[in-house]
Amino acid sequence: MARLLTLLGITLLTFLLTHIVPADPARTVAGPKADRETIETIRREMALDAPWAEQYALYLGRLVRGDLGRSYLTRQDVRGAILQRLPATAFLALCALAVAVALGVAGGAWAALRADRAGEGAIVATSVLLLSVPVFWLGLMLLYLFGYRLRWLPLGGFDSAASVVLPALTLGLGVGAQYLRVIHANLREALRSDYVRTAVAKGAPPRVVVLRHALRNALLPFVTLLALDLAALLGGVVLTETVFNWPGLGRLAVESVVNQDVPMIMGVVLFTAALVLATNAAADLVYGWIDPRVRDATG
Amino acid sequence: MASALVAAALLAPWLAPFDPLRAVTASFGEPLPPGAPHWFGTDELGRDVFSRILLGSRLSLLVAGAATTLAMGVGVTLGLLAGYGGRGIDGLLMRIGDVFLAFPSVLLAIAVATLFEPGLLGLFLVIGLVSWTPVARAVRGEVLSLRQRDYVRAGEALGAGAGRVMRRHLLPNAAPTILAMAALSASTAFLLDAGLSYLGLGVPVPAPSWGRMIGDSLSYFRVAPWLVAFPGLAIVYSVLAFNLIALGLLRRRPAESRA
Repeated sequence: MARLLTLLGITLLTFLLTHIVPADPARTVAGPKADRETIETIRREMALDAPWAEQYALYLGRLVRGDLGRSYLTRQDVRGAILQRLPATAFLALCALAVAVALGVAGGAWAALRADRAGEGAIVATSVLLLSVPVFWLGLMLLYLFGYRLRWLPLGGFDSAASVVLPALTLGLGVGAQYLRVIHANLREALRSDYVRTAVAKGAPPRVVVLRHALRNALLPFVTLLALDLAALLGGVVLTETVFNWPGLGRLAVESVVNQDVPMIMGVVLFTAALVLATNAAADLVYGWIDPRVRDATG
Repeated sequence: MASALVAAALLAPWLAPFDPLRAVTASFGEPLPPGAPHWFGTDELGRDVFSRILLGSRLSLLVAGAATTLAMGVGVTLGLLAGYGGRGIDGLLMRIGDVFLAFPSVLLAIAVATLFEPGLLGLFLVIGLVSWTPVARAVRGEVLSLRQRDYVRAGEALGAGAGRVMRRHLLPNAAPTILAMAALSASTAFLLDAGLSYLGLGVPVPAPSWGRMIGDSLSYFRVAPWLVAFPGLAIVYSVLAFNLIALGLLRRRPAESRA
């Protein structure tokens, strides 16, 4: 499928990044503190003297075997490190998504059902505002308010169930604002459509009609959005994890950047991109399954 | 719409630095809370926060501007090509776009920032690199729909030379979308810049970058929350302004003109 091409493209991009750098790739990978011998070893491993195509082939070969390289700093293998941190991030992401969905659906529906323009306007305004807030700042502010001042919630780390609340909120609010806008727009559109009108004419109370018909149709593009937004979500994850000291992939990425641990950061980048692709592909399948019209169109 | 313009206009005076010399003032070592004469308080090195925020606006606008220009340049060109060029080019370019889209922007930005030395140029490149795809997509969409218009067809029939003349038709009519995307890219550029600076990957030290100001003040967070609050508000304000502009522009689209 075309997805495979994209996957290939991703590996190519990652590969190119390490090699296009003006510095010597072996040195880059080895890190600023490596000694001559390590660099030489890496140079041989990466076959840096060979033509690029060959190097790329080697790289691909390693990837296929699941070898993402080794962090020359911590001597830990990249794949292991990633897999180790993955559950924490996944948990956070899921919670954040839950928040986002709740916010999006509730807010969007509420706004669409508003008879008065003022209420609707207020919600839209709030969502635009939320979208304009940098994630890390929101996190810090929430942390200050709820963690420090009010002492309701823990200050960071992943110790208890409660500690996921703030990070999830931070991440979820921003994403939720986006969903809200989409759902709101879709619902408004749906409310004006014929079948809804007919249902209302037949005597069904508007609220019921909305919740059943409109919502179902509005949810369709929403599903795709959910999957496609993974990339954005993961981006936010990086910052959120840093703020809350959350032991996940995001923080791993930042740490490896600070340590100039190239294999690790490249591994994380590659992994996340592949993950995004996978979810997109899955979303396509689900989408096609839900709505047969689409299935015939894309195929 | 009006609010968008107002917000934008308000941003402009910020460009003139209030008084750059005031960036370093009296009390050293202890951040002062907001109050006269330091309306936003001072930071741990005794610098007036307000002035730093004002100064930071120039930097942030510079970065956002340059990055957006880059993203727009690449995005619009590729979008035009993709929309007008036919299946082959379209497919290829969209594939490449997909590849870029698969990477979470922050991660990609971080990764690239690691590889290149920190600095202004790198920052533009990174943000621009990450932001071009949505622009290209939007432009492509516009072009695809515009292609079907009568005046475009007429032009083609008259033998309008190689897309060049088409660009006289397509570009102006795609302009609202392009401008809206520019505003959106600017707002994402701002956010990315803030995030990168917060992580310490932005512009090097003494230069006041809002994100950096937040990052640097972390150790004083408990006692001096205003050090974090105000730069953040500045960011929100700017991003909001651009977002509003973009929204306003997008809402205007239906009006189409020109033959």
